[in-house]
Amino acid sequence: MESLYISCVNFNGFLKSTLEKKWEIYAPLKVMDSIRFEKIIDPAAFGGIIFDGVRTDQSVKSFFFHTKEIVATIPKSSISPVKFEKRIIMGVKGCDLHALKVFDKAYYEEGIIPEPFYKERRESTYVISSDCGYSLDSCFCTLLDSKPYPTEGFDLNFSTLKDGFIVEVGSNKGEELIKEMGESGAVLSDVTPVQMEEQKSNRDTLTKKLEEANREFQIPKKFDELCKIAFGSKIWKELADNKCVQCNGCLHICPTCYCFLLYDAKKDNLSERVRIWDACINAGYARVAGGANPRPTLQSRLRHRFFHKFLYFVQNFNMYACSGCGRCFKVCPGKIEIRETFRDINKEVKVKR
Amino acid sequence: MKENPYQPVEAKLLEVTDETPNIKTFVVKPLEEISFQTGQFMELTCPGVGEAPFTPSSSPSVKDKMEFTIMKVGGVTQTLHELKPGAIVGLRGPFGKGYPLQDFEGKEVLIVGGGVGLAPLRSLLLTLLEEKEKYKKIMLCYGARSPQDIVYKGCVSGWCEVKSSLDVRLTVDTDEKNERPKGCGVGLVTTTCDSLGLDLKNSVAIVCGPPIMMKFTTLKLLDCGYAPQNIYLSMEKNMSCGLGICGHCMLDKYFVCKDGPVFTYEQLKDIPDIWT
Repeated sequence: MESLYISCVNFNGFLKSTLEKKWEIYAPLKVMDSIRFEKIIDPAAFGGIIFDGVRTDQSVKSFFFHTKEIVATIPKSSISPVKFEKRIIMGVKGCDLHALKVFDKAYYEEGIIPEPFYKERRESTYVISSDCGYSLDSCFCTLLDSKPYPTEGFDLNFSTLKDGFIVEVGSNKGEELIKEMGESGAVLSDVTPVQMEEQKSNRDTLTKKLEEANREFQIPKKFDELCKIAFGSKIWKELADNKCVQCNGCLHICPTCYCFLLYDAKKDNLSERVRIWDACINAGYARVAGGANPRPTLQSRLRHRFFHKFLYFVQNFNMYACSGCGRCFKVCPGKIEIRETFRDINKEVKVKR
Repeated sequence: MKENPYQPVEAKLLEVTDETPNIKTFVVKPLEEISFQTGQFMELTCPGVGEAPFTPSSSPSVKDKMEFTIMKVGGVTQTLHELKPGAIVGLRGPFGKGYPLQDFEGKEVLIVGGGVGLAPLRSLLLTLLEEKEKYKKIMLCYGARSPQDIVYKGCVSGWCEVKSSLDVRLTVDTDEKNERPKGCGVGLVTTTCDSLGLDLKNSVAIVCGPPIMMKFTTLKLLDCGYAPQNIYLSMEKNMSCGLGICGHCMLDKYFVCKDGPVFTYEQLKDIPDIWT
């Protein structure tokens, strides 16, 4: 993978040129005590962009999969996703790239057709990811064999150094951006051994710290293997009885939860087909007409949520539909913790033997 | 965007036939031609109300019309049952995998239906009869709750007449007023699977009906000696998007809308709770 160095001054110069060309730019900014993606409309905001922070509070999911949108009408009218000239999302973390890969698999690459709304947004978006500068207590990407720095799935990746960035090029779209940088007058130079060393040292230090923090959750079995023997576990009932309040918070904050509900509503002379995010822990989610419900209990629905992410998705696409971002734990009023749940299942399985 | 998979094609309701007190057959004419394979399903929209999945009950060889036999059980079907000829509905699809007809060729085909579950099987049966020389034998076992609950009353007697190629066994769970048609027994549909007289090594069974009927019929067929890979089941789940994405129809790792709705029992046998 090609790597180059760009200084902050040069990069800001490039950003300014993109704003002048009316590209849409989103980047992580600090808002109150939260880091979130904000639209950058003024070069004055460049200084506030956080490249070396941690995952944003909300994932990149909603950029590609809107919380609510009209997808068709009867009679037919021209419903089409908005076309973006160019949109850049910067500061995307490794965990969110993993989540985008989950969406790519289900919506784009391996579905029966590419889902057109997702496809168009995905193709018109340039993703500039960046290494994490620190981690949170809830982070556990390393338990899922990921790293706190992107290794794939980006157009460009930025590793923050003292006064600039190492830029890794990950795709043809990344090449395009490098070309645009050159045309904007930004100077890109070769990465020096000292800079390489700084990147490696930062990455290694944080990875080690995360592994250390997650040591207590290390279990010998892989999560999908554990799921295969956990269908009858008592853990699901415990989660249902003592923890889950069915608020849907985890599913909305989750960067990989991609399920949705279609419903029709009358508007004037049209019947509008609306697509909204949906949650498999809702009672009526799998219910069929006539009332039969394949997952009538909360415990069966919670189990399904875990199994979809850690077993079924692995069986279908050979990857976990969990990025280890820990957002679900952060929002959960009942403090349902994925790491803890698997640790508990592992314990239960051990005892049973 | 070239094609919007959420956009239904408009279709005109041509004819409505009462089958039973709560089941009607709807003949619709799509305003753009839709071709499908028998066993694949469509999403049928009642504008402003919603859409629901149904497998056509007509043969795919009829190109300009489609038939759907629908029981009144929920919001969409309630509205459908109130529609009169001329009304406009929407159709999306077809979705999923249909019956693998090539795997049935040269075999003795047993079709077992329960209640309104005969709808997709009627499409299959009509398709098989169009090329009946390809199949060694075709046998239909159909059970309904009572004589009033038998669907396709007219056709069923017609099917009985093509005896040379089609063997029909009918049964009703109960017949208090002694109103069942000639040749129709009393008992659960599983009773019709006794002494089938089929060459089970060279036979496939196709089952569709309510979950409880599917469960016991499958167990019965296994008992008879059918191999799990020769039993084909139509799994009716809450199919919605049809694209294998929205998640509502998930059955273990499968998306019924994409991987089904027809599965062999071999594919499903290790899944806990498949009959709920």
